[in-house]
Amino acid sequence: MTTAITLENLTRRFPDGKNQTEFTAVDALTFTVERGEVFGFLGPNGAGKTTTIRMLAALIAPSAGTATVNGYRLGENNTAIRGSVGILTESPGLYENLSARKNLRFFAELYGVENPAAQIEKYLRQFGLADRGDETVGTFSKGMKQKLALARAMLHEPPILFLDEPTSGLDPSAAKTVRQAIEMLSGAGRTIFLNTHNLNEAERLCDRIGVLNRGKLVALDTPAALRQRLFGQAVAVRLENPTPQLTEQVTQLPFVRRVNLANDTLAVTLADAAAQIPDLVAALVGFGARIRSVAEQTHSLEEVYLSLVEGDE
Amino acid sequence: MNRLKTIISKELGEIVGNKLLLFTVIGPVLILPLLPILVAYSTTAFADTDPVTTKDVAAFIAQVPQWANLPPTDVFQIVMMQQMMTLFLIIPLIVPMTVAAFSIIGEKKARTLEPLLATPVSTAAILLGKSLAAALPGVLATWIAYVFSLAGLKFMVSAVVFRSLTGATWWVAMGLLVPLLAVLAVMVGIIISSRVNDTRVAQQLGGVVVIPVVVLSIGQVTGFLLVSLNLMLIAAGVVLALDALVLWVAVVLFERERILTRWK
Repeated sequence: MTTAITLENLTRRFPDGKNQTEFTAVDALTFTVERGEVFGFLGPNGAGKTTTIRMLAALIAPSAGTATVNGYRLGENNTAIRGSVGILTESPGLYENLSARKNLRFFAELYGVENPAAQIEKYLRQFGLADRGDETVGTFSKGMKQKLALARAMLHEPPILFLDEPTSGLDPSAAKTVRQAIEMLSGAGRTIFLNTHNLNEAERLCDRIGVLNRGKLVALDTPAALRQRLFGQAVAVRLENPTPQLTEQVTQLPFVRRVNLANDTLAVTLADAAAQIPDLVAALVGFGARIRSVAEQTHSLEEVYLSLVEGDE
Repeated sequence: MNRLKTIISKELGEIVGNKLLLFTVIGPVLILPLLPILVAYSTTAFADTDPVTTKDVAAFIAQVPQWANLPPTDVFQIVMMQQMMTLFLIIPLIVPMTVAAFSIIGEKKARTLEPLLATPVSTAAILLGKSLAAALPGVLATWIAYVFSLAGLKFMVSAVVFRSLTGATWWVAMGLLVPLLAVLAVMVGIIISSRVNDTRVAQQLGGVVVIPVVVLSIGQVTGFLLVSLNLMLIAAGVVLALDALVLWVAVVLFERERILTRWK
């Protein structure tokens, strides 16, 4: 894999009019995104996600630090950066009184697409909009508009795609079709940088996730590794004879991180479940426990996210 | 160049697709030529019952002595036609300002500016494309209205009066002042649109650009100012200087970063 995006201490400050000072929207971000990777950027509102995308798409300049996007350094060749990335902004931003085809035609010409008609038809078909291509966009549903905006972002076949909250404000059905469209685009070695609030979406689509809070990167890893790092791996052991004494004995085991007894189930967090479950079971039997079942538990990405964001506050 | 053409043609398409804007452009072309024709008709039609006398036009002859040899009706018509000129000068102010406000505020409200700014097109090309698309209809509408007026007046006024309508003063007004006023109006429209989100508010604020033309009009009615070649040249110079100033402000305002982070 080669690197598609490199951020080096990328920082953006904005004047804070009220206090005549500056606030830091994005604070010294340093990480890389590999080619072909779907990179999820999670964070609460105002965390700096959109500002980061705007900087990487050469729309606004960083206050400090820099980035390299598709081999072009930010500030040195912004036009080339803009030409080699596609961006889906938070709002579809389509000309509502123009037809879908005319919207795409306009942007295809601005991006200098060589065979605009063929590209327009390709993406209208790909996103299931070909039949309504001549209708004005104002008549489209939110999901259709979002798909059309995705098509617009793809017209010039950019190797890097920035998607800013692509399913925000969509009903579940429309969000599903947009997610399917993103899944479709994520193949063919295309790099996708996805800003999202939707943790299920991030979990399903992203190879790695960066969690941003108040402009700072608080975590960066695969969803599974983030869970492992924060919570270890939990095992649910259903017992016939659960007792507080048994809980205390399990807590004393050296490979156990945390133990919680609820009803007849002992939730045990291990550093490495695959290797340590047999030891745990042997120890429980040794303590006189009668085991009904043992099952691995996984923490949701939501728990990971909340732990990171709330823990940072 | 192709991208500039793309922006201009899309903007013009939006005007054609918007009935209100289209009327703003076409209305003056249809209405304005009727006014000088009506003035010419009324001065001719009432020549027997209420003729224009030398006394009526004495103030004007005092300012332009060479008119002393002309029939009073001709002098009156020349002055009235010059009065009409101020109306022609209002079109390149109102139409481009309205189109520019609709264009920029429309993009702000529809949130289409960010995808547009994300393209590899320079902000200068976007600004130029939008400005030309806003200015051209106003300039063309003025010229067409002027030609329509001439076509009607050709058969209604004397050769002397008609010559005055196609003389250097009018050429400077139409050929120089009209495009310069259109540029002024577009830039004022862009500057105002960067701060407000309602086209009606923008138009009301932009209405101030017609004040100099209204002053010119009042000056003429009161006999204080009379349109002349020199006055038109001075006006063109002043508007050119104003254009340079507002163009600079508009260019500063119309910058990617500023549009995305400061335009409200």
